[in-house]
Amino acid sequence: MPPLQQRDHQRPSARAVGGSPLAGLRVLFINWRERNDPQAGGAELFCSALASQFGADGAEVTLFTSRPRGARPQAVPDGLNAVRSGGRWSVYPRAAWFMARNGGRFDAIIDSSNGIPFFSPLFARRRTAVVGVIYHVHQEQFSLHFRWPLSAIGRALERHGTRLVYGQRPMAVISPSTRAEVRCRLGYQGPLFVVPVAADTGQPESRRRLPSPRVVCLGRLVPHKRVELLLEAVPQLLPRWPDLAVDVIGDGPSLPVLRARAEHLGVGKVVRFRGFLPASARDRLLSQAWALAQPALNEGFGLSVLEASAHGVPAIACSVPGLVDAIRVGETGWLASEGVSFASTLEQAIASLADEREAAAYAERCRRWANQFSWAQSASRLVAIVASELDRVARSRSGERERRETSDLCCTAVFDDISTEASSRLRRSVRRTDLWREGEDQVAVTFYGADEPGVRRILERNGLEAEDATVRVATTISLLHGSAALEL
Amino acid sequence: MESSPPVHAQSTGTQLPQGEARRDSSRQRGRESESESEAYLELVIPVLNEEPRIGRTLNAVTDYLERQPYLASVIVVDNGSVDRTAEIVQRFGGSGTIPVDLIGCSRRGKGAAVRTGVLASCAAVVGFSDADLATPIESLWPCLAELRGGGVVIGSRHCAGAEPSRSRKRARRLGAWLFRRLTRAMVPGVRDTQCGFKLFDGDVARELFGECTIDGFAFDVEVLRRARQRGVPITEVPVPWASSSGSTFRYLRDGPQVARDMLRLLLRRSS
Repeated sequence: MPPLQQRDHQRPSARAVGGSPLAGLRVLFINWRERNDPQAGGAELFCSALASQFGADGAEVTLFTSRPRGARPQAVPDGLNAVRSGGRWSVYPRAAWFMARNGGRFDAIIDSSNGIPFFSPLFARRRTAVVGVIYHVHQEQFSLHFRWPLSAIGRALERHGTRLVYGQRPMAVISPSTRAEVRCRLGYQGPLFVVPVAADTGQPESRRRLPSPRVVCLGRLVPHKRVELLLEAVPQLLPRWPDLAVDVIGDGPSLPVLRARAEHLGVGKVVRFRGFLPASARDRLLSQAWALAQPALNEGFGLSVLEASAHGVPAIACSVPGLVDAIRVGETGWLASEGVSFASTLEQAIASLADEREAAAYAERCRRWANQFSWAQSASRLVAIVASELDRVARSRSGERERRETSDLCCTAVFDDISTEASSRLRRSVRRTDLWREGEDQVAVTFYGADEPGVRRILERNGLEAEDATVRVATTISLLHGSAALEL
Repeated sequence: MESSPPVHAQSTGTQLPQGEARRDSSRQRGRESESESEAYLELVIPVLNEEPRIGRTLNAVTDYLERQPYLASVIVVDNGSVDRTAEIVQRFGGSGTIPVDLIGCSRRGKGAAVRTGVLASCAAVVGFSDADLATPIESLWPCLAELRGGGVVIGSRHCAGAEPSRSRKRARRLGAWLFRRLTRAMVPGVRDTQCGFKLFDGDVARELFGECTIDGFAFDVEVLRRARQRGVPITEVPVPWASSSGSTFRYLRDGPQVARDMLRLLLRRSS
């Protein structure tokens, strides 16, 4: 893995601003599960990808997770120092014990919440920067998986526990939808920064779309993924596309129920349950598919959508949190809006994709969309959050006050035809956590917590002409990839 | 009420804003649209996480304004929404004949948001309305008719002719009643300071709001009090009002702030 800085220069895309202050820093990542855990999902991918990026960038990284059966308690995969201890529940007290004993060794703790966070501020030293990571909010899921009173305890820990323990510490959230849920549903008060996921496909296979419509569904088979919506749509599609094929890739507790449902609907021959597939087999199926169906009830972001996009496969989903961020309607996929069934949206999508030219245009836009995201760029955003939190901790210990008011309002300033000199001056005037994005001769900066006059003041303070910039309230898309103006 | 003629730009004593200076200042406050200088009326709508209903509200407002004989535009002020409010408003901006601008306000509070919107305006008449349209937009007509003499026209749920809604919770009714008793002393002659529907002569509004400092929910009281102190006429017009769920006012969070702000206003008089 090349060092972060180098990757960034090769790639003219969004990244958090500022150099990498990671060298020599001791960073502890805590996550519920290990990457190779049979139950691992997007959260584990995010954590291990970012931990390796931190390691490659010079940080001394320790990754604490639960210990899957058969795994060694300590290991050094990819230069990371992995500590594995505890099971599904006992990982929480064990992580607490680990932090209590070793907490002073770390400059920064990155604490992933999988419903319940690890409450690291209780165990960290005052000079340690604690950054939380939230993939999505679990409030409803507690009652799906647990009975009262466990479900109520889980909800309270996620909501009040997080708010009280983490206070004003920054949180990294993987999507604008999660940001909204953490603010509105958890009532969290501290600053929230979007650190998106990325599609982890090295070199996407060349696209070999099959002549007959094939729809792929990708993900763990659990109730809230609502794969049955896809199954129920099949009978409606068959009269028009008798050669339709549906591949369900993934395993999970819902598999027997879904199989039975498919038989009951009489689509057992059309729908194939492929089970869990290794990456190469999965990628081959994806590269042949017409579309990805993702009928989930909610997602943090919808990593499978991004993975499909990387293969040039557009996606169909419902208009729900997370997926509204992952899919750009009319550009990279379709969203069933309120009152429209998933089945008819799927039907409409397949009808459009039957046109070869339309399909090629979708494929091209999908690839460009997926290319907006990379683990290197997400890692540099997380680095920026850690660095600015280290600064904040140092400042608050010396009693200094914050200049920018904490507001959730963000503004994007777009400069056309900016000179190299002005661009580098602009570069120096933005905060590390602000989002920087460069096009050919355009620069877009998304400022966290600033309104239009605030952005103009920042620009003028640094000797830049505010008149040269178009400043607008940032949309959720600009928080994901830096700008709405330089899109697709 | 229906017999009152709509007010045309030319028929009032208020001058339409002229010159570049005004437009420049409003552009500096973040507005990009050029059409603003033509509008006779600008309606400010402060929003905070209104994704579920802002689309419906803007539809209702622009539908209504399109049918009016004067030119109007809408200024939506985002007070830091984390949901997709900004997208919806920006998409709306380019779709109809009524310009809808979105500007941001990073100071928290409804008062700060409304102030930002009013100070970014430049029309002869400036009004503001809640994002949930608790007072239907149709109330603009009778209010505008009353505004012909200039000054301030406020929607009222408690003056003669109004039918106060009783659907709210008892605790909230009690709080509102206490608040009204208190404000009656501070803004004499006004029975309902808190209705989220008010119209101003544009220059008066910009002058009054330019001096205001309260960011929270008590900003109405401050504006009306300043208007009273300057002798600006305040007219109350009975308006219907429907309480809706999803108010951003929280008793425990905002109540103490309102109390502090009211105290500040009271002390300011004695000093």
